[in-house]
Amino acid sequence: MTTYHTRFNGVRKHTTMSEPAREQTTVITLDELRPRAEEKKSFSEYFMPPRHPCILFDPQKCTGCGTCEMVCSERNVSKIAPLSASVKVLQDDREGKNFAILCQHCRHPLCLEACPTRAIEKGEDGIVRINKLFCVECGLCTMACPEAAPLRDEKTGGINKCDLCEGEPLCVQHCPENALTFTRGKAFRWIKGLRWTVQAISFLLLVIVFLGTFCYFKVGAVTLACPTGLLQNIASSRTIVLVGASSALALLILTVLAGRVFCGWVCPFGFILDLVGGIIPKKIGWPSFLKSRMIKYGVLAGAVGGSAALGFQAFCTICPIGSLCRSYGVQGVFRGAELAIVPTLASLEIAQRRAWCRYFCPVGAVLGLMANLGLIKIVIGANRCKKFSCQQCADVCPVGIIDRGLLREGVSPKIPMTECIMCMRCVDRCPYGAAKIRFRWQKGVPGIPGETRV
Amino acid sequence: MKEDALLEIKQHAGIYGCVECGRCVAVCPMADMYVNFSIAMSPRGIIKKALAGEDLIHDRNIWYCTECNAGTDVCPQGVSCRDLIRGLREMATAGDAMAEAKYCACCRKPFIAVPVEEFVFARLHNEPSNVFKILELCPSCRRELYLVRNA
Amino acid sequence: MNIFEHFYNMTIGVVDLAESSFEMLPLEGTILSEKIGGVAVTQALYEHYRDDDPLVLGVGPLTGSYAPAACLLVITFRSPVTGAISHVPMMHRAGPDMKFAGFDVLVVKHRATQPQFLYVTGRTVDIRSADDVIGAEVPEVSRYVRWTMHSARSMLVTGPAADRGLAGAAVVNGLWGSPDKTGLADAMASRNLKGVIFKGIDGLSFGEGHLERSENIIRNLGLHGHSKTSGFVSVLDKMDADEAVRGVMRNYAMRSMACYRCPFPCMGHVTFSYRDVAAGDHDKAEMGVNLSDHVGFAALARRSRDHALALSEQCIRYGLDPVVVAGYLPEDGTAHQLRQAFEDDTFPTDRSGLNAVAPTEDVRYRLGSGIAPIVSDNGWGMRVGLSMILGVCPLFLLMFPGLSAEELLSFISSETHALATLKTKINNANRALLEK
Repeated sequence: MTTYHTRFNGVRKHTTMSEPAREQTTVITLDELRPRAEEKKSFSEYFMPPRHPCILFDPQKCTGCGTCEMVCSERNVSKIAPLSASVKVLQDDREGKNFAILCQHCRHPLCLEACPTRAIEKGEDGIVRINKLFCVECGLCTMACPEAAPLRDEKTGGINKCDLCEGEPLCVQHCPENALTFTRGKAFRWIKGLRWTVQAISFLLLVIVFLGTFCYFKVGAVTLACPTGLLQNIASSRTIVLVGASSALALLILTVLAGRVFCGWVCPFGFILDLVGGIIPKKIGWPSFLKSRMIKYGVLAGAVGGSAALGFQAFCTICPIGSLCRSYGVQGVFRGAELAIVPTLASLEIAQRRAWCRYFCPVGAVLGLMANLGLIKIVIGANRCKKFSCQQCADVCPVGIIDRGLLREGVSPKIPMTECIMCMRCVDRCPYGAAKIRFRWQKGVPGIPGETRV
Repeated sequence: MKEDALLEIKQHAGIYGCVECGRCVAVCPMADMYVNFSIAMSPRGIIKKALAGEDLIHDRNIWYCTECNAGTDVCPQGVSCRDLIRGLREMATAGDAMAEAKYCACCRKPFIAVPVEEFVFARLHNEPSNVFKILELCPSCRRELYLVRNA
Repeated sequence: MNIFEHFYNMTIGVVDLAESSFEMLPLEGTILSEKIGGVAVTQALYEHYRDDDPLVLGVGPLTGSYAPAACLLVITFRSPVTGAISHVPMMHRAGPDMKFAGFDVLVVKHRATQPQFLYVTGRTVDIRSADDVIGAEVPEVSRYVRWTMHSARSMLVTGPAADRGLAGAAVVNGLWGSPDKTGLADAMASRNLKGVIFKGIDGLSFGEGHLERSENIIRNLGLHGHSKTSGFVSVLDKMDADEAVRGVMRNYAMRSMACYRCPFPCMGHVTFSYRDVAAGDHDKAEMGVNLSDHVGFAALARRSRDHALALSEQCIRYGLDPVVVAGYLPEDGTAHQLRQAFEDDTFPTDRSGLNAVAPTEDVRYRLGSGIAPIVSDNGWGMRVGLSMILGVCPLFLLMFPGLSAEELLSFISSETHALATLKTKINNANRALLEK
């Protein structure tokens, strides 16, 4: 049985073919000799995440001239020797595409994990460096990197990896087509402040000020409704209350125009969930049998069917959004048991952020279907996205629809607009302007000025 | 003949100059990779076995090496344990012995030894499983795939 | 010669195909001081090895350096088509790769008994069998080379047209058409040389301040930053190609590609759909073609406008000169017709009788035969000759007459006297070349 040293000084056992016992020699482990630096997050990082430098590459501009290789190799070995550079230019003659492979200086570098001698370190300045004192040139860093960015120098046998020229990268300065840009990413994030403000105002209005105007469905009362409420209304009473229908329609049109902004910016229960989720850390996991996004369509079907069968709006009685709007004000109606719905469902945040919105909310289900027909999409442009080296969008997305696995493979994932609640945390957080809002018919990827036209 | 080929490998690697100083073991990264790193898989041990004429081609211990060449760099006699291991691995692959080499899913060339690959996997166990799909490819093919997906 | 110390390896490789042997010889400083480099040196060495009827491949002093468009490899040989000595420029990465592989000149003598590849890397030349790919189309040869020769960067290969001895067989540079219009592919095929592959793993230090000097030149020519117009079409414009030719490209987007250290991407990749209705071939395939041969493309576009792109793609696949193909096909000939001719073996093996402009002893064919006929103040021959001696792309020098010889020579030496001497020598060598 072979065992391996893993990152946290633990030993991970891996069963392989059994070997005959042999005498064990006592060794001082690397952890004792050169302990790994603790990855502690300072308090200020919660408010202003660190802006680490990296190089962005635009493949549309690259002509494959190889100047980057020339200048880089000159820095490495004091002569122009393109195969001794830390950047490699690939030319695919069959597709007519060019690409420059170079280290992305990941936030959580894989090469750092794999290096057996701990020669790779991510410095305070964010640059990932190979310390040549400890490097034995085994090449396992290249094996671990999704891009195979550390390059084997065939002349010297060593490993060349980009070190951003200690802050002033030569390739960026000398690319004749400006295909390489050096950036630390944007600093100012303004969408967050706006969104919290809008959510707070919406909560104030819907729950406190206009108490009982929303989701109060007593027969004969004049109230506004959501689309799900309208469906249940039609199913249960076979009549349409015009005021409710028009508010539901207004919400549907809003969704077609701007996606599920209701869920991300207006919904008062969503506001509660965001508050709770921001305070309570995730402790337990979400059970995998409940992980299907289809469940909410089942809830929707149950709500409508139940309304038809029972003759009243079945789901609306237990809807958390509704119970907030109806019963939490100073003179709220239906006190008592209904007050328990919101805290119970909000406590799901301990297992999964916005779990209600992801898996159960029938209002979200209807809005999601509308968003699918909608005008807006959020796009992650591959030419600016740092994929496996960044993943900040996947970290902040409250509904978890940004595929981390694809990012690790080096592919920018598509965002399903049925699930996206348009909170725009990804757009806000993306330091390189890769995540952008686009109209559905726009084919171009953000950042590319358009292909060369004759 | 197999014996001739073996002799040529040993001579090319220069193992007859080995003085058993142990410098190669001191720099060998395998010590930090495998908890039960032992003399049998160490460069000095393999060279010793080769000098004694023992059968190494069917020995799993020749597959732990990363071929980094650190041992050769520090050897006072210029013995190249990497050349020895490479030669032995080639003979094992060509012959009937188990070949613990991983072949690239794209170009079908062997690019890493299985125990070394398992070490890399163990180190990356926190990652989503997609990362292992990438590790099925050799570095050259991985770069080409990255181009195809992103250019 | 001292001033060239860091510009060259000072090494010649001599390959004997008949004996499958290779040896390295020093490059004599005396040749360099007389001839400077590039085509002048390859011509001199051709004379030296004349009896062995060699192919001489050579680079110039600026090849591989920071000088703009410093990509050139020159191949000097006796053309089987014209009977005279011909010099073919090869661009992309072939020149720097050969120089960084350790060779300034490569002389290939005699004839091999079996089809061979020459794999030039790391100060050695490996001679390998090419039996497996005789008759295969060029993309497959390219794939085979990349697979067996560990990510080789540059390759000059012949296609199945050369294997069969067809008229107009041409060398393909990677998957790009080359300026071979005088039968280099034939010369290679008759020597059983299937291809020459380069991988340069070393380097040279060249001179001081090259990068800055080069960037100033590029800025002064107005070439810094991403150009929105396609360089390929700019060349067609300057060639005075008529609207019929330029009109073909109007509806296509081209992904620009450039050679080594070239700020003016004059090549490009075009994706297009091809539907050969005339022959009943209804495959609406999405195809891609690499366009780099301006002269060839113009000939095809004049002959058969709607099928020019598909025919260009086939020319690269078969290893054919588009000018000869244009001469063979009828007006508005289709890709299907070319394919039929190739598969039925009805494509001619003899150029006579074809409606193509045949290469002659004229300087345009002797020196840089495939380079576009762009009008130049100094005379086309002198400008191309200058570029081929220094080892920079002739097309770049023709497109930018504002780039003076002095500016290029300043990469080698800034000292006035040395500069003047260099200039005189280059002019002499140039004239000698053009006279022959």
